[in-house]
Amino acid sequence: MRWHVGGPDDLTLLGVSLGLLPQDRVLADGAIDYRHTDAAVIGSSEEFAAYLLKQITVTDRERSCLGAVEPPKSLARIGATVDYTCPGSVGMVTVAVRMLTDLHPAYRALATGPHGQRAVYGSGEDSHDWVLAGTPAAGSSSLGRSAAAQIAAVTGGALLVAMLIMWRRSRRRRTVA
Amino acid sequence: MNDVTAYLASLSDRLEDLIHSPGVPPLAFALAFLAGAGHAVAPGHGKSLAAAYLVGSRGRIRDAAWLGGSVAVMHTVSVLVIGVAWTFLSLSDVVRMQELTSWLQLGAGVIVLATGLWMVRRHLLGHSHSHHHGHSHGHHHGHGHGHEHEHDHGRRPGLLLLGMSGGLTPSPAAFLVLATGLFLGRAGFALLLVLTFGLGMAVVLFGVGLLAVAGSSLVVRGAQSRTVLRLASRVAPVLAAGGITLFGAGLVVVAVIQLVNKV
Repeated sequence: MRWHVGGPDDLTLLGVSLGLLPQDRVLADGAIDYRHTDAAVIGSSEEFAAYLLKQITVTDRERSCLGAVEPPKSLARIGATVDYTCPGSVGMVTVAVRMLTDLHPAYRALATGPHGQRAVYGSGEDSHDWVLAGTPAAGSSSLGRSAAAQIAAVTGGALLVAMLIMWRRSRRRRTVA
Repeated sequence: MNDVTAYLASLSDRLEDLIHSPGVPPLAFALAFLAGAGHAVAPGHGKSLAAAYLVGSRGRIRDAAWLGGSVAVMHTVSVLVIGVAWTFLSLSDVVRMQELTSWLQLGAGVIVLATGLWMVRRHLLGHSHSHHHGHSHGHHHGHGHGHEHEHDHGRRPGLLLLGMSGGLTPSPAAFLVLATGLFLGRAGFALLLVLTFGLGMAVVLFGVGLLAVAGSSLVVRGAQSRTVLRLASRVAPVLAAGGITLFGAGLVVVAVIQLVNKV
């Protein structure tokens, strides 16, 4: 499993909360003073590896899978990878992700999996089931088709409204003339 | 200002929560509109540039509307294209969002710089007239009549370009709303919210444009003598063109520094 942070300031905030970076990196107005060296400091620490294993858990039918963090080569660019080993063969697992939501409940994790599976993790919605063997009920193609149809409908509606407004305006102008 | 920022952040958070809730609550549209207006009020989005352009080119109310509309359309298109590419075409594997934002800021800077240079060139060549002259005009379809008609060819392309540069870089809140909607299979609802967000931005920018147009009309009406009026009408376009060019150059430099630092 690979975890990738959205912005470098979020990583710095995590580094401060883990005690790896000084507190004064969070300024009085809430802004973050982030530096490009922060990712290396955080990625090479034991505290970050422990945080990853605590916040991302995988269970297979109530049995916990054991996680091992790969030393990140570039935490900011590539992200951090955790390998999970489950007892026995695995068909469907439950993955819980609570990354950063302990720092602020507004954080979200947008997760993608095999066969185009997708899930959104957030505060209060930190656990989802993932199909690893076999074909999931809703895959990438059905989600993509549904998104394309919905986007086309909204775009078409918006264009129709815009054309209607322009037509009415041109008609009014012609009437005035 | 901190309170405003915190309020806007909480608006975006509530918007995010509503995407997760079932149904299509009208409250979500009100929140999206307010979040968009708040986003446009924050620094950036070319408000001062557009105001300078409108004052410098003796803009009209219609121009202010074009400005707001072009920002809204560009922002919605930008969020939609990046959101779809990020969700379905693994855009994040190709480029990091922060880098993409810097590239888009560079693009916006180049557009502003080009607009400024175009205005400077136009002024130097003496084409600073604003096409407000009237003339008799006959329609092709027969009903022969003459009327005062505003010349509209070349309708302020600089204004549209400035609007586009203002909406090119997507707001993080709007992007997250669309990406979440795409992930949850609620793309239509999310896109409607992004459209409403853009409308909120458009209304604020239209308001800023109106103030600029009203302000410049006030100067023209209030000018006591023809000399003052002539001076104001000569100086304003030069200041506007120079300011926009400098601002565009500044945007380009900042974006390049950001990109170089990330390599």
